[in-house]
Amino acid sequence: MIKKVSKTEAIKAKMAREGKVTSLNSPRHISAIASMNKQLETVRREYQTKDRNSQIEANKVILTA
Amino acid sequence: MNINIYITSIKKGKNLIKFLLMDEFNINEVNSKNLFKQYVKPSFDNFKDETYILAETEYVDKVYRDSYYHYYSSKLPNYKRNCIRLSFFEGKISDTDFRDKNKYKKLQQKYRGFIVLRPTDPFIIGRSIISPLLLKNNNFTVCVSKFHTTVYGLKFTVKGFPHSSQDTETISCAETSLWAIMEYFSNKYSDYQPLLPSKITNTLRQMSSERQIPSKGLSISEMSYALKEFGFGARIYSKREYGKEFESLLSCYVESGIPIIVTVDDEENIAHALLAIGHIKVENSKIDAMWPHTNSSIEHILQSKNIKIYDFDTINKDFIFIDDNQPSYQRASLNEPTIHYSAEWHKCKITHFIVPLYTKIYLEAYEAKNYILEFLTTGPEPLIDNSTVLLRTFLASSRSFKHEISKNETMQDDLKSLIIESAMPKFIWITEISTKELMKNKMANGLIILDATQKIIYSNKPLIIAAYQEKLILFDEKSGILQSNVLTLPRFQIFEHNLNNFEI
Repeated sequence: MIKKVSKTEAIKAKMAREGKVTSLNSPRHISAIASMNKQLETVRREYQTKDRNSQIEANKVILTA
Repeated sequence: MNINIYITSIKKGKNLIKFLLMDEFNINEVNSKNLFKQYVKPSFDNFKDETYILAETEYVDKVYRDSYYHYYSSKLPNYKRNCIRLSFFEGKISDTDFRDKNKYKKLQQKYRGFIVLRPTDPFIIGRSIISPLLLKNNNFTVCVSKFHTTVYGLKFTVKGFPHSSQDTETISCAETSLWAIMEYFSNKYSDYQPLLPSKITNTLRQMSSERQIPSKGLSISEMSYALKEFGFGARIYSKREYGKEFESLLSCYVESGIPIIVTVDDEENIAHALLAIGHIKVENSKIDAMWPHTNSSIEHILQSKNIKIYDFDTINKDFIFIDDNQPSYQRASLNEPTIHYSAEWHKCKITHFIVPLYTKIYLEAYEAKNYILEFLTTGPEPLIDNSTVLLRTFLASSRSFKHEISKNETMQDDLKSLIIESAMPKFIWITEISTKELMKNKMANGLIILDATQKIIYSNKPLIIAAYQEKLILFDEKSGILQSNVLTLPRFQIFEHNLNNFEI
């Protein structure tokens, strides 16, 4: 008999048995994730602009000293 | 042709160097004296008083030899092909030690690296690897790699960061920085190849509209392009674009153990490249002096919930630089990176940095850090009201992180198993959640691990696992739904293995 030593399944099963698990798919959670996504959309747009402009600026500086 | 060997204490280093420059490079006495004072003495002054020097003539240095064949040999003056190598030992040595097999181990324990002197008057400081252990003041943590070398016939190893001065003809600050980065990475990881000056020239040939030698320097874009060609996923960050977040992003990458190319500029005549490779040890007073994070997008949430978030990367600390105009391991603040130069340099500010990322790190620091902030403030399991937390975010290889977690006796057992048994990419983003008081003791009480290969930051796609404030958050494998579990997480030791500690 091969002995399985990994513990993840047992840990998760124990938490479920003890009623410690909550699925984060209630309307409140979904709303929070949607709100987070909206903020991250702004972060992504800001990043794309900063990234592009950083590259444009990088063309102008010659390092010699 | 014979190799001449000399051994002396660093206290008599001036006489030895003067003699070698006169005897080997045919430099007159006055110039030899000046060269020592201007270029060699600043390094020697940083070394411990008990240092001994072993000098070897007729040394074939791979970097100078490349410059010699591709440039110096075509000039009228008769440049020598060979160099002088100065090897350093902490403590007294004698020539007989090198022929006594019982003394070999002791010599290795004393060995602290080398400096090559090139026959390129006045820019004579060539390739060097100096162990921070040789320095009088080494209360810092930096990236280092292990280098193999020989001294007087015996093999030695030394841990340090590569350094060279520019010769201004084949290599300027830009090429020297590229060389040092590649020398470091190629010694540390098999994915990368070491670099010689001619390889840089050849790599950039297609981009260049003018002759490349003698060197007139490189643009930031050219440096980034070269890094890309040498196997990195290079990223450029500009101070003008990233504003007040620029320094914390720079700090985040340094904390990740990635040497980065920093550019300084006085907006007039000076534009210079150097490497940031670490920082001085953070004192408790610096942690106390931190200000809470201000981020316009989450400011209203922080205020309404009375949450204070401190960012470890905003700690006011000096960084350690490899600068080809200065001795190895130069320390300076990000606000005054050239304070140790002459007055004309003092107006210089850091304008850009280039990060040589592993090619499959698709999630970079700006997005990763913002994701963490959003997750902790507006996510499905936000920080509880009135929380005060200190966040320390860095990249690490999942191998190193799991290795250290496995050995970490302070880590809660269930979380340890869950982390070690989680499938992870080669690199992960880690945010340790702590407090000022815990961080002073190098402890945290929460962490978030992100997939650094996940470019999509929406719907918690980068999240691998999070544990903080009695919660364990991870995806259910079957349903794909994010789940929150109850988990009490005692404080645990933070991960400090991206940068090496040298103080003894």
